[in-house]
Amino acid sequence: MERLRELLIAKLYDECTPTEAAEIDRALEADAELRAEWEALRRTREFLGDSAVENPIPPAPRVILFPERRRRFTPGAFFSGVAAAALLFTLGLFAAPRIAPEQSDGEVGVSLDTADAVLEALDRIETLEQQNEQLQARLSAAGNDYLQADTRNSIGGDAPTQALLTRSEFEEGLARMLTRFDYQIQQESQYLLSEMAQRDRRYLEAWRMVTREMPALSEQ
Amino acid sequence: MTDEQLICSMRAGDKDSLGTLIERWQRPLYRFVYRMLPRHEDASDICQETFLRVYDKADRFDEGSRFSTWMYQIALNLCRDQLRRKKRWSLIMAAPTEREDGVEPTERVAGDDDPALTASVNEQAAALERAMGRIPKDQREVLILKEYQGLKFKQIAEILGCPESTVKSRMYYGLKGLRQVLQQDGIDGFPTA
Repeated sequence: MERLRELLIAKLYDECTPTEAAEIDRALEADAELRAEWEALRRTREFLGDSAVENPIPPAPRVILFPERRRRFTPGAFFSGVAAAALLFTLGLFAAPRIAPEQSDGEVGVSLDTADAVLEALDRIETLEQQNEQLQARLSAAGNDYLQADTRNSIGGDAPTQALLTRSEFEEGLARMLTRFDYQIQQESQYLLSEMAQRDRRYLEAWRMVTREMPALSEQ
Repeated sequence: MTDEQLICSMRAGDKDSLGTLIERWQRPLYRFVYRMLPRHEDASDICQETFLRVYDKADRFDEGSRFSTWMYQIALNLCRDQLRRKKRWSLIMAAPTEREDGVEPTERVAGDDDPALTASVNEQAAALERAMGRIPKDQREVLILKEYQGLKFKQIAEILGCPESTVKSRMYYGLKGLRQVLQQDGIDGFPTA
């Protein structure tokens, strides 16, 4: 009987092999009780199907995939972040004093006063460079003279003694040395000024371009 | 690509494959889970959890088997867990009423306490819903997988981990039990044997 019930279910859902179909059909023809059972199963299934249509299922929620979160701390990422932050901070420090909101008509803009002041400073630096070159030439000549005198006093002759130098000669030499020392300092300063000037030029060009483009952008 | 190829690809690190699988299966899975747990929030949670487990346990998927079988197994286990939890609650909350009307607490349908559900469906469908909750759990599972998901008996047997003959037997007794419950409830339009 259990076998026939399984066959009834297989027939109900069209999952019978031809052999099984023939077997259950024969049994149904021969057994009235089994036919009644089959009919009841068939109607129950029909009822299920009808109710499934009448019983709506809410729409499935939409599943959204989010990218996986970073789980590991990477030193590389950390230091890259720190470096980027430092770079932005430095740029901000240099750029901030040069950006000033235009106060005349309330529009946001960039002041040209700062730019002109920078250009004047650059001109002064160029003049100073020329003066320094002239000074360097004069000092070189003076320094050579001093060294030659000093060499005459110390090489090839008697051992140099304090008596070989008069007080005025000593003071003159000391003054020259101090001058050369000051010159070194000036050279270093000049190098730094030159570097700053180049950087300022770049900023200036950028901000001039921005001020040129700004009105057009504002109109848009 | 087939589901099985997609899951192999997912195992190899292609995360887009999961998206494709979800796109393909979220609706059928939701329909199945909703039949087991007729409450939108529960069904949504179970579906989400099923896909999460598919993703987490992808390396445990047997390449020779079908993806849908594996997915239904996961979902079914989650539904069973959820039903166990709900049953514990219904035992606590509904015990006095059950004694009054003589109905065993364990026979109450999951989601019976959702007024929105019963109001939204017609009488016949609601009666069927209740009747489904009053047949044994193993028969209800087979009935849902067969009748609403349209799976073959062989696949249902794989999902449930039992012989095909057992599945057919449960199906037979499930249909018969359902008919008896509906007749007892005097549902209009339901044919008497």
